[in-house]
Amino acid sequence: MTGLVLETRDLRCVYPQTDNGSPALAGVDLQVREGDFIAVSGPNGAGKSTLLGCISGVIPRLTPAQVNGSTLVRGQPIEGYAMPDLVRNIGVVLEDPDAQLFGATVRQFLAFGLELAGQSCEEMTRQIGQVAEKLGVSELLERRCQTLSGGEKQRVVVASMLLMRPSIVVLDEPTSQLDPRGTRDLFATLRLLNRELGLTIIVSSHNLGELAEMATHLVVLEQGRVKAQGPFAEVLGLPLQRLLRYPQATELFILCRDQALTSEAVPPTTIREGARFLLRVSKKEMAQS
Amino acid sequence: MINNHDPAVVEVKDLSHTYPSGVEALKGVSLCVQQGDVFGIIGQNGCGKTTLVKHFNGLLRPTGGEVRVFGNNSKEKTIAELSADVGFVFQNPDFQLFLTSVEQEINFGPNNIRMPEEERRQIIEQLVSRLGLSERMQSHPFELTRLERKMVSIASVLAMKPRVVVFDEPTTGQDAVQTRAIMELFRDFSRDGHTLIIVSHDMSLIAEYCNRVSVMKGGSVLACDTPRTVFADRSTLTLAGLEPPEITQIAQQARLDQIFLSVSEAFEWIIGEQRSCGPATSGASAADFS
Repeated sequence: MTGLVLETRDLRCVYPQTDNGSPALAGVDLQVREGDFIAVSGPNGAGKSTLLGCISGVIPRLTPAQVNGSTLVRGQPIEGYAMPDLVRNIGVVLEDPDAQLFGATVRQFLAFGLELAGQSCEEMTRQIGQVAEKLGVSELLERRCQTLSGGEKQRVVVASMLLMRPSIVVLDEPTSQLDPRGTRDLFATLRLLNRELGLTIIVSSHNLGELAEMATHLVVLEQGRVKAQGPFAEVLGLPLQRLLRYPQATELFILCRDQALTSEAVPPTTIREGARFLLRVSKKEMAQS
Repeated sequence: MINNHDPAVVEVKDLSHTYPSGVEALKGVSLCVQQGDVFGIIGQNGCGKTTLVKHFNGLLRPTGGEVRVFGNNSKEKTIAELSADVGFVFQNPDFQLFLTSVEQEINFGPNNIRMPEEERRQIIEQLVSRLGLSERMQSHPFELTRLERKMVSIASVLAMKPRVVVFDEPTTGQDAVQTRAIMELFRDFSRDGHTLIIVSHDMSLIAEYCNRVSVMKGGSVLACDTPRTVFADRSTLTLAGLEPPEITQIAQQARLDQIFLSVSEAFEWIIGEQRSCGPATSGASAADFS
């Protein structure tokens, strides 16, 4: 099929240490097309990090595991790629920024990959300046990496990955240590890169609400299998996609409905009042869209 | 508002901290945490939250002003002395796990402070079951998922029953069910007289579980009050780059004149309204919504 940049077929993965031998991935078929922005979701332990690790080559190259089935990057088996070629194709941001951060200052860390690629000093300075500005880390460039806060580290690691100009970007919970504004900004930056440069993005996150506005596709994992995948709105059903941005209003409505249906102490009109909270936010949403 | 009856656990007076690099992370912070508080600290990334709490167990020393922990000046105490009272759960669990099984990890602290056998068994049993670690006791911490490692780091600190526990982002990366389990556990700890200090970006969590909240911006404290007061004050929050929880915002947008801190509060309010107005006249509030 045209435009397929990444594909897994019956991907299975078992970690050697698992006591009961239960697989982290139990047969995942995933198809990623050029320019897709894919959100990977699912409860803790569903296999999100493992899937992202396998399709970026981190598993089994850096994290040992028994991997079966196949992962194709631009039609070629991933294991056939030499590391430098793989890195040029797929950029990775791991969940834990400390696992990737090294070097004395942020600038030195960001320059590392460019130096290896043989860039001139001027070119490095220009590129680092550009990417740093995009990710709001310009003021951190001379800081020592170890003095950064968790959220700053996450942004710096994303910057270093983008400097390698990969065409596919894989991010595992990249906003776990960011505040709400930082989360929105990072996702907005990703969307910009996706729309303007056609970057293919695969990101796992618990923050489905924020991603609902950004991602084109959603993959829901459960116990190592794909429970659902497809265009974001199709997978969730359109109203739910809107309401995901308002988890508390949704929770309130469900509480009102369930209590009114099951408890005599709660007047039935409570359902309508709960719905009004929900309607209020969904109307606001519709007005905006 | 400070309740003068509860003894001060942590008193911070005009605290400044400038890192050797020259970064001025705290600029004259004053606040007081009292016994039994679930004390929230909120603010954008880089506003000094983590720097502030690292002073509470001596990981950092003031470069100006002072910190008193149970009345003692932190400068005169060693980290070991301070950590006997102040436990610390870091944002990154990998900074604090170092043994070869979950069981050893969780027992390490209580053994170290020579907690009596029976007491140790009880607390660990309770923590392990509530944090969902029962089947992981023999696993190596690095076989666990990051979330499980976080749970182990929480258990290993709470197992020592420190009088004060500082949590830096206790719930990042967890789903809603696990977040609730952790917060309910913290709440029970505070009811037993422990004091909890929570640094978090999750406003709904801070609003629902904390009794006092401190808002930070650029190394200073902008406000320190009950969550009801803090989250009603949009201008201070905006200045700090923060937004109130969604449920609070919706009620404000509907001009309900109510500050809801949680979904259950909003639910109780709706039921109250329904009962008092009756179904026939569901009142002005309903009209505001349509």
